[in-house]
Amino acid sequence: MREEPAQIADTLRDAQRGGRGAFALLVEFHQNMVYSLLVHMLGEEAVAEEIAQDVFLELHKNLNSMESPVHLARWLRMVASRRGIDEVRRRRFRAPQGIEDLPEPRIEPEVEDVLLSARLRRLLERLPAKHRAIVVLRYQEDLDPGEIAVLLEMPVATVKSTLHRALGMLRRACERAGLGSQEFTQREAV
Amino acid sequence: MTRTLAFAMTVALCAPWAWAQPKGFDFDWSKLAPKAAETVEVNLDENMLRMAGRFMAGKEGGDEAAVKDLLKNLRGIYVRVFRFNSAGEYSLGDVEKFRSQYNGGGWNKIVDTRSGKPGGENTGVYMKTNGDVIQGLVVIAAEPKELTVVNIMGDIRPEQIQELGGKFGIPNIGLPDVTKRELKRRTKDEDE
Amino acid sequence: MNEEIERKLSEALRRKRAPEGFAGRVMARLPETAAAERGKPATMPPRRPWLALALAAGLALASFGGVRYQQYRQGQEAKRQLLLALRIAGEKLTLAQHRVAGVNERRGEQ
Repeated sequence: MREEPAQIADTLRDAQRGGRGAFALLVEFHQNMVYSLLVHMLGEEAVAEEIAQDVFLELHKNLNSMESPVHLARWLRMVASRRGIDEVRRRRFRAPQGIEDLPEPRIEPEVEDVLLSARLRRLLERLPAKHRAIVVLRYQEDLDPGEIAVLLEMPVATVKSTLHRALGMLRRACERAGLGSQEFTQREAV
Repeated sequence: MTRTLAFAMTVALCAPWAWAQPKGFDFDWSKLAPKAAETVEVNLDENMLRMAGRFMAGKEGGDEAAVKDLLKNLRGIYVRVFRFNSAGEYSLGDVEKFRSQYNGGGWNKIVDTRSGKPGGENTGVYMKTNGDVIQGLVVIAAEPKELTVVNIMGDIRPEQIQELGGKFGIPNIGLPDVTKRELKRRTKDEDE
Repeated sequence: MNEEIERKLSEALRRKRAPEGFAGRVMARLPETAAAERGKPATMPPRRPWLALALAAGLALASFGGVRYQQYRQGQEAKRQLLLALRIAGEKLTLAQHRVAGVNERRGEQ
């Protein structure tokens, strides 16, 4: 579902007046973004859905403070990523070891992109909470470090250095696993 | 709540049926549709108009309030637009057949322009009245690559649509001087 | 240096579709009243005999929310179609008026 901004603004106004149907449309419009942020951060679909639902319930409570559709989207990204960080820290999601310590099974170099994507997502789940959030906001939502810094209330320089560190960790883990290592090492050699 | 729920369910169940009804035109468009590169079809019966009205803001003096007001006396709005890749893909004979429905039977021709040239443009605006009461408005615009018919059932005058000009993407119907001059120039060019 | 992994990450982290019925499940959890919205605790803790009733009420609420949502969508669609119809009608009336004006001007010149 894609609506014109004017229609979203109308829908937001209707929802603020108490329209449940309008609120449901807002949920439908943003559900993929919120759910994806959480599923990419947490790696567990059921948990991601539960927290994504909580995010929308919180939105409902705070609906009247939403000034515009842009504000609403930014608010959802902020709350979803912070909830994701909290959840990662609370549950210590499947990260008994650091990303650097884990032995990775080797995979043939001609591995398919689909498999690579799945492995990358799994490697991402081994990053520390804030690293994950920054990577997901950067590459899923295509936000620049300045926008991420605002959402996560961090200095821009910290976002940049964390992102750089996270990419380094992922790249090294990929190389150890033999995932696209040729491409990565070739580029590195240039 | 039970009654409201029953009503809501009835509306929800009836709505798709309402959309599917090919009402509004006593004409078979089935020959034309496959030839068209693009078609637009709007079928809004009285129920759907009421439903749309409930979603227009009723704030006094507001743009949507004007539409809401307009809807009160309408029984249906039906539109067909057929856009073609090239000129001459539909027969003006068919258009004439369609237009002939509006000769008599309470229909008054308000506008009737026909180009004498082959592949030219024809427009017609018809209004149905019963005494002082307006019962409908039909607009037919046959252009080389596009055929449009609009049937608005109920009490509506073209000026009411004109009043909505500039809002919701509805063009301002008033003819600006620049356009008049341009039309004059084009007419001269065509005559030469 | 990191370009390749950045490209791969963009591919790997493409937005996923939320599970089927997600919005409906959110709506079912939405509090119906303002008091509930503010998170006031229930005056009586739920007891087992009421569990079935509460479940039934929850289901009814969810389906009612769903019906209202459907209604809202249909209403919005009807509004969109209405404005489209009025825009087309307006355009074609303008066209007709232009043509009449053109004819009149030609007559005036003759």
